Amino acid sequence: MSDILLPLLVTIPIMLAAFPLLAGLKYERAGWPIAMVGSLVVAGLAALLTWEVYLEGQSTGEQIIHELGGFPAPRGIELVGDGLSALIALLIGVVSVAVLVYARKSGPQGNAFYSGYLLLTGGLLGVAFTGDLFNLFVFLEIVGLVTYALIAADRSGKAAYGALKYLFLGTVGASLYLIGVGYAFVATGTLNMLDLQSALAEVGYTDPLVQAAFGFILVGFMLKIALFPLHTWQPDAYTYAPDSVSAYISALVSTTAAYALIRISFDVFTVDFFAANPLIADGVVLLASISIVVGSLLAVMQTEIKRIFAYSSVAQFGMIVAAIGLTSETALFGAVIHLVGHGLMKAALFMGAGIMATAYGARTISQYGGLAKRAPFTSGSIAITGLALVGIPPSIGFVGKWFIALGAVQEGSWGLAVVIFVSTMLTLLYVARIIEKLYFDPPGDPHGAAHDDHGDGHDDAVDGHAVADGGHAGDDGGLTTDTQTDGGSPAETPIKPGDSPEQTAAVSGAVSREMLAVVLTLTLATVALFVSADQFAAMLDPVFGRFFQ
Amino acid sequence: MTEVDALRPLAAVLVSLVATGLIIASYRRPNVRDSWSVLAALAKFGIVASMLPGVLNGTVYVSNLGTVLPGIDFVLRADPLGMLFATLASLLWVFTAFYGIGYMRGLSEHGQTRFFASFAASLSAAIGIAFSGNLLTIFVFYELLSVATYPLVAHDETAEARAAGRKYLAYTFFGGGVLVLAGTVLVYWLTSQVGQATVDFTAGGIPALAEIAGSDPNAASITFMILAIGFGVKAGLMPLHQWLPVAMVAPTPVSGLLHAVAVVKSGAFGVARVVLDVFGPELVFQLGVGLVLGTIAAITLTAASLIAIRKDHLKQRLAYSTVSQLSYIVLGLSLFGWYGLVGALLHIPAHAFMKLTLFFCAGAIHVETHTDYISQMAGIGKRMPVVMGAFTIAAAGMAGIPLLAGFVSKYYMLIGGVQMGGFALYLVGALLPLVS
Repeated sequence: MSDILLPLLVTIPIMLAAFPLLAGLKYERAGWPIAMVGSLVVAGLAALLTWEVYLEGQSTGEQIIHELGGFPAPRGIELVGDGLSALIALLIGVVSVAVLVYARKSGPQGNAFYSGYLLLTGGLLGVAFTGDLFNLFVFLEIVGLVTYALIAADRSGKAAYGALKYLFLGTVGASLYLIGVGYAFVATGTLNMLDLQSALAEVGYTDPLVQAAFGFILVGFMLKIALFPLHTWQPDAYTYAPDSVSAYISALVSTTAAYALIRISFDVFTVDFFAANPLIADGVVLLASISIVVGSLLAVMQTEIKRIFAYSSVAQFGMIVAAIGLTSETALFGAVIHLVGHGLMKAALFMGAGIMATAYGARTISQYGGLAKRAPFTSGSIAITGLALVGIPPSIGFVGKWFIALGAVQEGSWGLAVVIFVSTMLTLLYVARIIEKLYFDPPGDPHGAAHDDHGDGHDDAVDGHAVADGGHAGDDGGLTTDTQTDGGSPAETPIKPGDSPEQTAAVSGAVSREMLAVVLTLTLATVALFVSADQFAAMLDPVFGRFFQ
Repeated sequence: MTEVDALRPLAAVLVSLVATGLIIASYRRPNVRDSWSVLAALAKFGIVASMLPGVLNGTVYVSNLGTVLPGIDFVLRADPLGMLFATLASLLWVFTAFYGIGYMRGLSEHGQTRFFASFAASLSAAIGIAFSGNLLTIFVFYELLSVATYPLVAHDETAEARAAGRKYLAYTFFGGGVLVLAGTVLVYWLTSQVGQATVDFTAGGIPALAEIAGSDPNAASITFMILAIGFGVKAGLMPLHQWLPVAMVAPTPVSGLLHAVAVVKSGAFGVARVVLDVFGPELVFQLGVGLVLGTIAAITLTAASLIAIRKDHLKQRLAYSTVSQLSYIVLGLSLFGWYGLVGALLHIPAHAFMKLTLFFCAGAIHVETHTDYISQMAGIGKRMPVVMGAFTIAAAGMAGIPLLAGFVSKYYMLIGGVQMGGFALYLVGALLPLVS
């Protein structure tokens, strides 16, 4: 019975996506309720699916397969659900409800946004469940195009620029992926993932066609996931998108792309492929390690809060992809936990940054000075989530990191192990900067601001290194941030240095209680999930049993 | 030794955490707020002290909060070693709570709510470190201690304080988030090679670790050094001690917390756990890593003493004195012999009491006269005879004058040192009076 959940999860949001626009012709405010119903249904169904897979996992551990339209596998398209995709679906459900609650007040308003929102949710769920490589391409394109529309929903020139950049690069990524799929099709004659698994093994994993297929798919996904040096679309997209959209796409879009890469790497190409091509596996680990280091350093150099978080994603996804390249069960387990954890943390961080921007007009790090006194809850949430991102226990950030590091050590991949341990310091660099500003800098303290730019000797060394390493991304960040600082939010009132801290609880009218509640709930969730390793293991053991048989 | 399931170790940790919440909630009424601090301090000491008779009779109180990672429980155990540190920290907090309230009010400091809230949270983390039953639990509290003490170090909100806070975070997270985490992962990995992976503290060392060290001594040695240095960062081992003198910009009660009550002691305590309960003294001796650690400690000891003599700023001098005294403890631990261990463990409370006295005196001088430099303190003994009398006694104890606590611990370590040879020289040299 449960296999009907899969098509429902994908089609309900996509079908519903038409309604905000249709209903909007008559009722102007119809969009939000419809989107909310859609998101709640998705979250509910995803929870149901997760629960069934959780129960099933303890008995049989088989995948749930649904043949779309009743056409059998090689010709028809299958939807496949297992512990891994159920987890991702649950994340999508939870985040889409959370962001929607947040977006009611913060906007962007308008029924077109809500249509796009539902369509994006459907596309992401499609990526999570599809069992067919070409179908995956279709869903990736849906996700890409809708993301483009949502980023541009801000209607500012910069948002349009960020969106266009994403459109171009995202399309390139999808095309590379399609070329890779083409190679695989030429080599085997099938597009179904389960079929491909055996067909590729027959062709031989060292066959150039197979290698090329994986190479193209990998690079395509690296672009979609936004790993250094293919990340250039991502900071602009995250920074210039409306706050709620930033939260949504940073939590989910790269996440599902990384999920799809895991799916293809281990369900289609399998660990035997990596074993036969150690060079590819090592290459993935190396690229991902570079992404961890450079992403963190670029994050340290930013002045704009959303941009800091955006570069932080580059680093965090480096950690996840590195775990894929390790082909270790432990590391991959950590990667999936970190995938979910990072999604929750980034959603909370971006929404927290959104509240700061809406209520206090603070978008750059220097404007964050002393905000903790005026916005204690949001500041606390940003601080806790930030520390969770560093991997400070008790938090989910720690759990993911523990398993990835343990996997690296088990595989004897010492270089990566060092990078992961040192990434604590790298993440701390940019998180501590924000926390210090929030709590220990009086508002508008010019000395503090100057001091922050230079930091102590340690920071200086880091800055120099990053400029040498990532010159391109560096000046791209520098130029655009400056203009953003000047003209980012002229309408909003700047912080008055001498404002009394009495306004503590009175967050300005633009921020509703729901927005605050959502951010705080997500923050608590990241802390509470510290003890979730057992539940993740129960979900993922059957899946990993198949991956690493 | 009997193990008893009990909630008391957990309660001892939670009581000040609850107090943190109450302190923040009653930020509008300073009197209520400050009474929470005092109440929590007394309650915490009461809970810890109530376990003392049982622990002395060989009972170990255990609160197991369930499994966090495969094979690792989040467990609090009140064993003798933990009780030593917990009793010390909770007792000294009682004094520090009163002193802190007086000090902060005396100077009408800003942000007192944040100050006392962070203080209570730090004590939760410190007791957590004392009662941790395995490496993962101690790592959790070790990191929380860093987080909770950071607001205290950066309390002044001046550029200098912020820089100090930054440095403090960088050093302690390098020790905790990088080294201790790495060491914990390595121990987990090493033990997993010979059966069930474990990081539980076991008196005399984890057997599986001893087994694997037989076949892979290098990996075990590296793991030991990573863990020892990771905890050593908080204990002020050179060259990772620099956060300590810089953190002196914080208010004096914080210096007391850092130097006497919780923070540096948690580092030394961590090293003790690693030596005694993770690797076991015998294994440490066999691997020869104790020698390396001992050498680092001896160098720190000598160098920090020399630097201390040259400092004119009273708190700075005390800071370097802490660095050198803590190295005594680490040195004693790495001397492997029974006498060395006893001396080191004795020196933990001895140093705590003496250093807290010294800092409180320094703080009293600061509040009274606003003087921080020793060269400006000529004749201060006449103006503040009681304070300086206490200061003198504590300093004499620090120097190891007989009839005072510092003498006993150093005497034991000296015997241990002579037994092992080699280090005796360092010890004798460093026994020279150091402070004031």
